[in-house]
Amino acid sequence: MTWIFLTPTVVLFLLLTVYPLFYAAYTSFFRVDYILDQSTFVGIQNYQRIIRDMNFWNAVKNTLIFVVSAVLFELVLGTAFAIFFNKEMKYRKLFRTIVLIPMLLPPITVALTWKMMYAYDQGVLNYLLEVIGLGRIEWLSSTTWALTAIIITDIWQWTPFVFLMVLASLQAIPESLYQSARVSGATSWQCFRYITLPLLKPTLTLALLLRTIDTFRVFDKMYVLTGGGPGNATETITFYIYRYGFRYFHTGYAAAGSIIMVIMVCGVSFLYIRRAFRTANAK
Amino acid sequence: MSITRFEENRLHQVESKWKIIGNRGLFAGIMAFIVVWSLFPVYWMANNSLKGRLEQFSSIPTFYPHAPTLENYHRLFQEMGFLGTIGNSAMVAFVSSVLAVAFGSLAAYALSRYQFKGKQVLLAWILLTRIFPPVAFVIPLYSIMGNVGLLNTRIALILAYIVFNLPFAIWMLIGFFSEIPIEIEHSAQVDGASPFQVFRQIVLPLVAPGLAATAIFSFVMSWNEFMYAMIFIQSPDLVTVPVALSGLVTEYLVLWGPMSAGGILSTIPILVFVIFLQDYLIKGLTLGAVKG
Repeated sequence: MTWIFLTPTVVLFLLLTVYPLFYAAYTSFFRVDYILDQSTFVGIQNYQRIIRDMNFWNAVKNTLIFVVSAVLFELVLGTAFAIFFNKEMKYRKLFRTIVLIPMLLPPITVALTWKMMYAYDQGVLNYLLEVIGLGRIEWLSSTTWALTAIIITDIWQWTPFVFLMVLASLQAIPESLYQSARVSGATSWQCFRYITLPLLKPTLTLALLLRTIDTFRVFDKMYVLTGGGPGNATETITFYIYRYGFRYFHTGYAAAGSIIMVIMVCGVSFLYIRRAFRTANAK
Repeated sequence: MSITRFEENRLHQVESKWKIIGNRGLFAGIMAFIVVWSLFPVYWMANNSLKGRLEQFSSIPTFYPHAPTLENYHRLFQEMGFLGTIGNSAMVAFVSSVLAVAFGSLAAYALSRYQFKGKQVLLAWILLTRIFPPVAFVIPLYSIMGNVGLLNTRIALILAYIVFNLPFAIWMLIGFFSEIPIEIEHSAQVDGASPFQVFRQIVLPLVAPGLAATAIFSFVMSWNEFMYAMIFIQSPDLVTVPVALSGLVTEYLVLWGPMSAGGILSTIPILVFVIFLQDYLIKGLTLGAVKG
């Protein structure tokens, strides 16, 4: 009888995830020509060309810088906010909602708002910098600042995600643990270091993995804020694949790129996958 | 002796009073920082959406609209057909989230109650689809949708969003189903109900709040999605809100005013929904790994 329950999901997954992935893997061995409407088998040439392409490695480098710095700041800030909020206070729920707002907004709306604030001439950030006596910054049009500007935007939007996860697990730590530690003369730093941090470890690991997976695929923010530029200073792996697939219509080449990306993501999230299999076995 | 102790005590009290005031000041300062940090960009968008064209481009930005006007909203609806765009987004998000919850609840029920061949594979695949980058699906799906003539239709987007929401929906719903005591279902089965009857008439009503939460969660995810929407849809009368907004600020055209107005409108359904289900949010985003 279970087939009644499972059929829709299994059919959808087969048609719209399993089949496309095989299709992508298959296409990656062809050179597809849309104008002549024909494809030629080229073996692993697409893969060889990508691996030799300096622009691809530039995209990998940008993606890694983006992932490491954004995720690191999100974890630190999110944890700090959560610890700050983990005490009795007036209007706690209201303040919590305010902190959550950034992650609820459509990423495109967020990117556009920040683009407006980053504008060189009329942007409010440059105005404020000037008021406190610092010079204007070419946020989005200089190679030194563009990636940083996008990272700041991502940190703004996704710190609340870490905040929410950490706050949930902080509230699950029994107060009695801290009380007995204080009776034995522990300082608040020791309480944090030897009670809070070890108990938060599983949550922080999960937050680290989920944020890594999500920042690794970043596309919307680059698309809106810089279009991958200036030059290709903010081009990420997804953007690189998008450019070949949907601007130049080198479908085979883009498919090969996306297969390489799948392999990279699986490598990065190896721990998460292992956990997934463990929970799958436990259920 | 007693006098000195008295004075010592007083000194202590005064000191701790200052400490309390200092702590409170620090606390309020940090709180103010967090609130400004979280809200300023949203405020700035709202502020700009109410400014006229001149004020928009003044070299000294104004921190509140000196001559508030609704012209940006007016332009958005009158000249840019934004109402239709909102309708597209709402329709695609609504249909895909209802279907994701319908299919997801069936699958989640089987996964939480029955043992069957290939169960581990299915569970692992659900998690893997969450991990795989969307661009890996977009490229083959674009060709596949093209081959079956679905490109540039709402159906293509709806299908993509169902699949993209199913892993979240299934994982959230497994959590809700496993909170129901199984004894209720056993007694119904003893009375001769079929598994499907048990599911429809007994289990589903019990998880109604969970179904609602999951549906809203899927709605938000679809409403916010950008890449599929931009690639699958070309006709201006079918585009969704994020795609329409991104078209207002390009290399050739910068319409901060209407963009801000549209940005504010794009957040309203999300905020209304989410304030009602904050507590479920984390469960969905972490695939049930953290209970909020």
